[in-house]
Amino acid sequence: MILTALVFIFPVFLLLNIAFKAPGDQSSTLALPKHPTFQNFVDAWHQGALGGGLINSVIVTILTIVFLVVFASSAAYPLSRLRSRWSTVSYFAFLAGLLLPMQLALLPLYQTMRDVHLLGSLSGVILANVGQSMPFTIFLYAGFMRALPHDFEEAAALDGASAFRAFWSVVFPLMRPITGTVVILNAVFTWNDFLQPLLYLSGSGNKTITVAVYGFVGQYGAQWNLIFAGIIISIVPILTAYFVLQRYIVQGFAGGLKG
Amino acid sequence: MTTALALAGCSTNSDSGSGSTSGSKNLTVAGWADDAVMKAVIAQFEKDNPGVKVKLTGYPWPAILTQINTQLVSGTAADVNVVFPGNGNPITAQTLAKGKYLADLSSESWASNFNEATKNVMSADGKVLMVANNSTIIPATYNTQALKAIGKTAPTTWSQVLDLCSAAKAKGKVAYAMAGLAGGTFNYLPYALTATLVYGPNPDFSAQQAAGKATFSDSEWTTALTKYQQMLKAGCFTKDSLGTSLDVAQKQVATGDALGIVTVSNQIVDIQKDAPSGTTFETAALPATDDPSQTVLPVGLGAGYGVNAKGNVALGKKFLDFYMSKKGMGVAVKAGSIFPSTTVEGFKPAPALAGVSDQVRSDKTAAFPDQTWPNANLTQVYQDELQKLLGGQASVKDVLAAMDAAYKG
Amino acid sequence: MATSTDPAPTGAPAPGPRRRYRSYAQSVWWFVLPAAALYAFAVIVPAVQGSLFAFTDWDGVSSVKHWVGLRQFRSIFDDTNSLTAIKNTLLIAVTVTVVQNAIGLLIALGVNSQIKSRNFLRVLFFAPVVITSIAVGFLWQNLLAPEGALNQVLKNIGLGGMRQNWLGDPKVAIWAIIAVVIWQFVGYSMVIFLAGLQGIPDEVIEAAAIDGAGPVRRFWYIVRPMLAPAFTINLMLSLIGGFKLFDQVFVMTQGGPGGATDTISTLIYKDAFQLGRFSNGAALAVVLTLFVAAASAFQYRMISKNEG
Repeated sequence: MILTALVFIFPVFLLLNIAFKAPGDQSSTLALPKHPTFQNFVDAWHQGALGGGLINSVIVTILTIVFLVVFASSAAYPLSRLRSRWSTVSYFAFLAGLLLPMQLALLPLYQTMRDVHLLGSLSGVILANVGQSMPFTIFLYAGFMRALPHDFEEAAALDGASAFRAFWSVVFPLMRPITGTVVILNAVFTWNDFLQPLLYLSGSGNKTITVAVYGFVGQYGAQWNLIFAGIIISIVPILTAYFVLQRYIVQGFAGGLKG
Repeated sequence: MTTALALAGCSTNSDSGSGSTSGSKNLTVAGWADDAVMKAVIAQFEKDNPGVKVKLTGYPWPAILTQINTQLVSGTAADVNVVFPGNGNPITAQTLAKGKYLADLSSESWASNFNEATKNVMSADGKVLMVANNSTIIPATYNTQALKAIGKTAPTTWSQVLDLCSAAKAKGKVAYAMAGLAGGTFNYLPYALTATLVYGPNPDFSAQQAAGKATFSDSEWTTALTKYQQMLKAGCFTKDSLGTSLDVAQKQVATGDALGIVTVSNQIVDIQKDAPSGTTFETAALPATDDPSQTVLPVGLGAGYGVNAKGNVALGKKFLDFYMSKKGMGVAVKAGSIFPSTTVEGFKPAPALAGVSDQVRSDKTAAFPDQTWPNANLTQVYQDELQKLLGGQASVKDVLAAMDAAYKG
Repeated sequence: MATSTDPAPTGAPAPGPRRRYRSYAQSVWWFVLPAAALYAFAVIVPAVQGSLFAFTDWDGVSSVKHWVGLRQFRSIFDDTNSLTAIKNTLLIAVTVTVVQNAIGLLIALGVNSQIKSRNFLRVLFFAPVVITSIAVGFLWQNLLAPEGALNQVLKNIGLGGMRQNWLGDPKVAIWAIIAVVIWQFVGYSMVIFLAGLQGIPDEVIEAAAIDGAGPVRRFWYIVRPMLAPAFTINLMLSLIGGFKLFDQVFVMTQGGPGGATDTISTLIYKDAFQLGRFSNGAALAVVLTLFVAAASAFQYRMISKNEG
């Protein structure tokens, strides 16, 4: 375990190391910085206007996830419970979305966004993210819902609860561990998405943090010190979210079963 | 959210730039991320034209290719966009001409400052579609202190090149840093050799090739690539160059582990950033024969700008006129280490480029071959095959045969 | 786990409560609609529009295009580059699927136990997932350089003979990329396995332990069946991810040296956005989709059979 942990931590060390080095430091990437400096972080923050990017990324990520959790979990419920041909076909139609290479859809989707006047707005990015992560999220939810015993819904039914209520107050809470997983995996994906926010927001002055960080890549080279400092700044929120969430994930399922 | 406002701003700029009067004072520019030169030019242009507002959006490499191409194709592009000369990527003068996305700039006053060969790579179907204020040079750049340490000077003949290689090797160094990983420098050295061996002595080679009267295989390209291979075998290059990235190679020259590097002049700034203080750099054309007077320097037009035919054409042209004017060039030269594409009075090249700056203005230059190649795929094939040559999986003959096939498309 | 490929038991007589919950789900069938609408807008419609380009000769910029039928598809199989890319893509998909999930499962079992540092370890193993692929690519390009950290470490621990030109040797480079991808996404598999492990009540495992079942038996007979949904999800996602791999390859080698690490996705990108052959790229994308569909359908059937 310790050896595996070392292998895992090494590139992370490298990332930190480069971010703390002064731009003129000629020592190898492995050597510790001679004069560790926060300057890269300060420069990245100001030159890249990371503050605004951070806010935009938070807005995009939170809204994307709220929509995803609500719509995907509710769609997964009938899809995983019903045995009709209709629901099987719909389920596989959603799964097909996992297979499609996004390069195929990039240009047509961009032009659709143009036609519905969503270019330059965060809503366009959110809409694209929600739609594109839908298959993956439904896949996660449906897989776990199928394994969920039916006893709780039956109990709710006997109590006379409506189907709508039974889902939200009984089934959905039982999905806590997988909801935690859905949130964290989609958060990572949405937060790190680069090409779409760059494409959809260009010219509007709106930037997500990833787009802002890659502003340090020029035609003939990249300012890696600034990029890595920016990446570290951008990672902190998402790793914190994971740290908080994973405790929640751990208690989740067992607690749900008991309660 | 403020998105509704931003949205409104975006759609007015892109759709109605040309017609409306409110649009005529606003200009959008799609340029490079973090580009100090463009920022300075824009600031001066706004100052000289009260009421005019220029909005610059910068894109990182290589995403800029997809961005600008998609926007032009979808009718959402800025008024002025980055455009490359020739035909080798999705945003060059000649690729974009196919969709008629760029305004004709032939009658602008600066057009006459360029010679026919340069004008050709700026044009398609006889219309000038882009212009750049900077030239890109492919010299050999040397770390002066590292050269001195082994008691050598920059080679001026082919024999001296090979001599430098063995002298460096004897001291545990390499003569030329080489990044063979994608995005590296491996594709530039043959341009330096073919400048002297192919395109210098026979300026019509590209035209002959287009007419089907010449091929890569039956030309001095064979000699050039054989010499490239000779350098490889003599240990001139970074060991295991195929796994070496651009950053590593640049660092080797910066620290003196390599004496020099053959790459585009724009990279010298990055190399200097990595170097210990007190290190100086010098440049010379890379010789390919034993007669120094035959050595030809590859000089190409750099990346520049074109005007969106569906955008604010009038103001876009006015902006490019300023960009190419004496004043605009002066601002650009002051703001960054570019080498101007036309003569600028009182221009003093960066010290590192002093060694080649006279030759740039002489007739001992040749354009980059890829700027006249007929399709982007040839550039890709050239790079793939060159990597195979470096790895020993292809012979010179194989490389050139594959390139000839790709030339035909 | 129940699967949709089972003969549908819809017609079979069901006991009372069972019928009731099914009618529950039936009465909320419209829950699917918002998800379906968003999905159609962002994925299905543009993907269908995009795939139509495969039947044209559009170059990505021209204002004109012509229908050429299946010509682009035929040219794919004449091109040695695409054949190499197809071979690489299969190799990556299969290797990544097997190895990433094996390691991910072991780590999940490890950090699920009651060891003190488990919270720290969970974050540590997940950290690579959070770093963007571009940064991951650059970091490893640096580590795998001929004079880079990996070769230095090998030399220092007396394994200098294992030194490789990791990204520069066409035979080694594809494996180096596979290793980086596994490193990056093991945490991903781990998280999904962990979610599955949380669903196993401690009492069940404790009871088995009291009955004298060893750790291996406990895993095989109790944990493994209950992890079935996590297995299905993980195997499918890593297989599909492997098939569509793009970022890491593009950042580290751009498919080089000499096309040795090209995948179908890197070729699609080059065709569509760099080489002015948009319709070629679209045709390749259609072929990739069919490939992935066939492979995942096969995998889905295999898993279902084992579980059923």
